[in-house]
Amino acid sequence: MAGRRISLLSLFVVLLPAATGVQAQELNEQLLAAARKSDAAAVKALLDKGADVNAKTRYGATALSFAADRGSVEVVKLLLERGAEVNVRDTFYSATPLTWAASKNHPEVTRMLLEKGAQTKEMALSIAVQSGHKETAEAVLSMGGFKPEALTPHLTIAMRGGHTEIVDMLKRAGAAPPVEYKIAPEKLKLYEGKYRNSEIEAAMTVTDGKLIAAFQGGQPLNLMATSENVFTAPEIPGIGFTFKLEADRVVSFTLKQGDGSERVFQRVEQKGGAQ
Amino acid sequence: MRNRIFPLAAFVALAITLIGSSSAAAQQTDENWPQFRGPRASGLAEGKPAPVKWNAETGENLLWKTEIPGLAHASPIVWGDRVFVVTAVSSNPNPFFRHGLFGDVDSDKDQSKHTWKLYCLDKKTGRILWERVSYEGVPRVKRHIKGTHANSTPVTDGRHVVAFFGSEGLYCYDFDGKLKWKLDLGTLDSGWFYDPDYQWGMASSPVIYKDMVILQCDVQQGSYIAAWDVKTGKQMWKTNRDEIPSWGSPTVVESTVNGKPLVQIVTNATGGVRGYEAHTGAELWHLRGNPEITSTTPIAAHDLIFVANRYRPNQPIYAIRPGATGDISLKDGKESNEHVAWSKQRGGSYQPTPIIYGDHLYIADNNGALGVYEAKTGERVYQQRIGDKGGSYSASPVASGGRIYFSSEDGEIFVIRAGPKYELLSSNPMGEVLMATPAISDGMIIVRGQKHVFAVAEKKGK
Repeated sequence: MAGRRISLLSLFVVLLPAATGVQAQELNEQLLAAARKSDAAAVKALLDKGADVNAKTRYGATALSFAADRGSVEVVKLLLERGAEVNVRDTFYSATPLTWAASKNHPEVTRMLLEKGAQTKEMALSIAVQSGHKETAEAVLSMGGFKPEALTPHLTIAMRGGHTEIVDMLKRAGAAPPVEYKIAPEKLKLYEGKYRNSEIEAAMTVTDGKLIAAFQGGQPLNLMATSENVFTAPEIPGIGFTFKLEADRVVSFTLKQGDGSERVFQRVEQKGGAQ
Repeated sequence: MRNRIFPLAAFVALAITLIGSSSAAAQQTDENWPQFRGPRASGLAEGKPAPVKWNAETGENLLWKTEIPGLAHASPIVWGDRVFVVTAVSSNPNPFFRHGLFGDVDSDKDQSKHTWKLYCLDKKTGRILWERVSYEGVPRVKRHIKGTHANSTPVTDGRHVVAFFGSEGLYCYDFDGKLKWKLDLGTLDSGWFYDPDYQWGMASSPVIYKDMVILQCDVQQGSYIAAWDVKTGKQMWKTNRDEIPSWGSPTVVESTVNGKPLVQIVTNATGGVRGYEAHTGAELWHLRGNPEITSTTPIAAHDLIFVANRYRPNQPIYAIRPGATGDISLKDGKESNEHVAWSKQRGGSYQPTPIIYGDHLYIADNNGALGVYEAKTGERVYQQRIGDKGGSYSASPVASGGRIYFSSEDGEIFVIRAGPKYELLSSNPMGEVLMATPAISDGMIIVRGQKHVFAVAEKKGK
């Protein structure tokens, strides 16, 4: 009898955590669903029942990710009060709640997230400017902390997109128009040709006095020289091309991206200029 | 006496039935384009060549143009002298639709009553012979703002026309427009894997093999592939799939393996490329390694099955031998194995299904980047932007007479010469947005534009 009691107890001890785990998972899924529906009352009730405020989907999105996407001010406020991680980055798009709020033009949620320490301010501004979301651009700029030179690429994008109100905002925030370093057309042709790294090919061509970069399968980028052998892509903040010359021949370029990563592309074919 | 007559009559009746069935249904000729992307989704129509140059705006080589209401990305299909198209008409006179290259995930918010319809047109004149309302009501599932509620191309075997309208059902008509059967498959919730509240709708098109209509239903919960008797709608088999939503169509692949005929249904989805035995639905093989969204349809040629995809985290191209069994996934870093002849992790396409023409595999992506490969080896032959410029492409290429046709969303159809060197032959304006893949039949290209169905062909000598 004692043996059976012990064995039943053991079974209970083994099964209870599993049952609790299933219940917890269900609560978390309900929380994520409630956040997607912008149902603040349900979110509160589920958190009170023990749902994990930072529960994640298989792609690493949280209730805050969804609430930010929906622009649900009440739900975002509630989640932040309950300890939602403001800088959680999903594993698929590497997007944070701020990314979603800016993409969907939710200025109040954007401001709330920034005030709580959200750290993708540069990307949020970039998204807002590229999309022409003036309300969110204004919310991000109002937080301050941008150096004038960091605003120049955004100004270029806003000007090209015809977003005149955003142009004015950026200028008021200190952005100055980009200054192009002039390179003689015959010298520009030195950069023409095909380049390659282990993953992808790139082609540089000169059209109408402009150097254009085209990565395999991507849209062409107009490059602008900022010095003798350094170019930026004005439409993509933070991106830079530094060409390496050896005895007046261009042998490679290094692509630097906004996240600080660098990739080197070796030249495989020369199209113009001296061989 | 009576006993001798009855058996004879029965025999004659049976003989007539058999002869009739073979002549109407089994004769796949170059005038028939019976499903999405034509015979076995190959995209090829040989025989009478389709035109190289036309202008739908001026009427050059335009045979006819017929207005069709509503929105549909479904392609036209053709059998004999009949063209079939489907559409979904909103009671909102200005339904929102956006084309072009963008990454928005939004669902359209139109919750008004819609009407789903099948049209039969005369191939020579474009005259509407009949139209049928299949379903009316508020859509059960929202659509993507770049999609429609009639994305799936119908299919025909020469006697039946089967139209799939997603959550609004599966419908079978005869060639006179008589409804033979219909099935309510329930709510088919298909959309963004990341956030299921973003509903995008279905796009997979049914196929017919022998007397079975086969449908791939990959949805948020409860995906499956199933076959129904095309004559009665009775389910013949159903196989559950562990899949998230996908939008490609299944392909019937007939081959000979170890001297024995093999017919399989090949599907493309996030969980992988799979082959199913056609008569039973039993899964034969499975190749993992696809991105999180898949929209293309498998194709077969040169005794290989080709699948290409493009989304995060990869853009794979696979060339698979048809006699595979079990899990044939590639080990890390490997590009081939016993069952995968070759593969690449870059170069695939997001929506347009590739085409094999001659010795080459042509993969055109949504942004107009065209990559051409030796089909048997995967060696890249060239890369080029279609029409020498960017653009947005959803339709899949089709081919005829040594030429390949690419429909741009902006309303132009570019024609290039098939072969190892890029040569643009023409650019042909249609005058409206083009999302659907054209059909080719008997030297005619039948194009579904946003507002009209067009037929173009060489008028000289007609």
